Amino acid sequence: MNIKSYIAKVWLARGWILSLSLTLSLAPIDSLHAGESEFDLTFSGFGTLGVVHNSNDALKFHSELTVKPANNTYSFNADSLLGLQLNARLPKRFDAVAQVVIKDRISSEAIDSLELLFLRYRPSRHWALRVGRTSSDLYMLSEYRNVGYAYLWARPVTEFYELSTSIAKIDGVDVSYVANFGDGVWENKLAYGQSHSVLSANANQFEIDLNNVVVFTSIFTQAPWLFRLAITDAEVDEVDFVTQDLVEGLRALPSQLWPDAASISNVLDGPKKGIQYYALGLQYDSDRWVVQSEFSLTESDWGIVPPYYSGYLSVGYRFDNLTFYSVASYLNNLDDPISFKPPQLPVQLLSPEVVSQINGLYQGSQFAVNAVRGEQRSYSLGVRWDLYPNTSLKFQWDHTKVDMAGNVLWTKPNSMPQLQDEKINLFSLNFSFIFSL
Amino acid sequence: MKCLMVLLTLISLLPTVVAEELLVVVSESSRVESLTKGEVVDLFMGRYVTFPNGDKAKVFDLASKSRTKGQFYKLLVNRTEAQVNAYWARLLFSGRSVPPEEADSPEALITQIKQTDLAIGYISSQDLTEGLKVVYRFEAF
Repeated sequence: MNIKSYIAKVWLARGWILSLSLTLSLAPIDSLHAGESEFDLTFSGFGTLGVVHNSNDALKFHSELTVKPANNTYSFNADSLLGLQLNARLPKRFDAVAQVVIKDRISSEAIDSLELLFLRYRPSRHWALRVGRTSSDLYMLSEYRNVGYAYLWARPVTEFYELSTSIAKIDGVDVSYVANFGDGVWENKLAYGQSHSVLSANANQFEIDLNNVVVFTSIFTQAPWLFRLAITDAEVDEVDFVTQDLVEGLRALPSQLWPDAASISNVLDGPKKGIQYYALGLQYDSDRWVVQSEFSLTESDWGIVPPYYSGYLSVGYRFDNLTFYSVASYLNNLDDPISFKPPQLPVQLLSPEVVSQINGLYQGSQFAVNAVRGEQRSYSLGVRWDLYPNTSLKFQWDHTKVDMAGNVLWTKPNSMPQLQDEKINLFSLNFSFIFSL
Repeated sequence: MKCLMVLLTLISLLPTVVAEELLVVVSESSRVESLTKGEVVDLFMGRYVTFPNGDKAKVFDLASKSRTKGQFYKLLVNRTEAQVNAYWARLLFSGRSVPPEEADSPEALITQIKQTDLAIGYISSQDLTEGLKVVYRFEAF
């Protein structure tokens, strides 16, 4: 267990104990309220058993970057998961939720399977305050992206959702205000905290901690419409990735040898860099038609995560228990690939080993700065069958075109750069369910 | 004349058609007197966990596949039961709210509502009994 996850555990445990003791200290006051049950536990869960067939040998699929890539042509690990949740209704105006989701994660730390663990206080009908671990409410499906039964598709649209898994959970606090507005309901929420993620980046493990994460979400619902806006600002706190070795190597070089080394190391260095996410979403969900679209823009000062934009449009039509749908989605970088100037070395004065090390640093930096680029678009067709209450069966076909230099959402069998554009057909069959006891 | 008598007899034998209504009810001891349709939606779709007066609400639902349940959600939000279930899965597993407690039958639901002044549920007008207070009435269907 590394130091960061240890601190996260201690932090969560302290918050939890503090919250519980606060609740229990208020309990006797609440017992005066007649007819109100004091304590109530509800156990529930959800799951997906899914199989994915990938037509392409050059790129391995994963549904999100926190999950291991599919190893074979047919894969059960990409979409399959099991979630367990405990809701506790507590005295006074408190309640608490804990949720664990078991899936084939990159991380082997148990704490990374904990998706929710928060205590909520509702001082009035309109206000709610939460302390603990919550899902970051960036996009429409962010809070329930693991619950296949709750949405139409085989999985949240990968072009839109896969990169955002690096900020899926927030350890901190949030406050929300809900009020009726005209014939609709308007919810505004502000969250603050930190986030820890273990991701897959090709054959490497990529750990990233974000600090000072601030998420503002505004959702207006007036059936059958839903509009949402989210703005997120975060600061890179710590990075455990091969790029930080490059940064150290570049910084160790005397500036006379390669004057650009310092500026390159600043581009690659993660800590203190800012990342901003902006997202707009729209949903129309009537008895027959369900149309959903989202657009997002991600800005970043950090060279390893170049700015990108993504979006999708999904149109579905319900026909009894069947819903037929199609989705078009894309992910593109805002800027062109970065090209560093090669070092002009006084080779006659340097030993061949030093020249080779500096050239290695140059090539590594050049590779790293363009390794997290995403350029792809997908067209999907699918059907969801609500075959029995609380269960659904989905079949989906995705046709994806991945550009030569933009395959961040995929894992290559080896770390060599992709040499050509790839076309991929994915076929997914998912059985999703929910239950409660 | 004989024909007329036969016709009148036949008409009198026809079952009396009583318009069935769906009623949203609370216990007669509840402090809630009436709700608008929007306020009923707020409670049954988990937007608020309290009544408009601030009292905590305990919402009761009927078990899956009951005819009254299907009609209730069709009239309330124009959704099928499968759509309502998927909606609640979103609310429950995002940690926002807990779905209504399910009662196996209208009788069980009425018993639950009578037990606490914080409860709210829906019944067919034919099942209305003493001890309940109607807070919202859907038009006849």
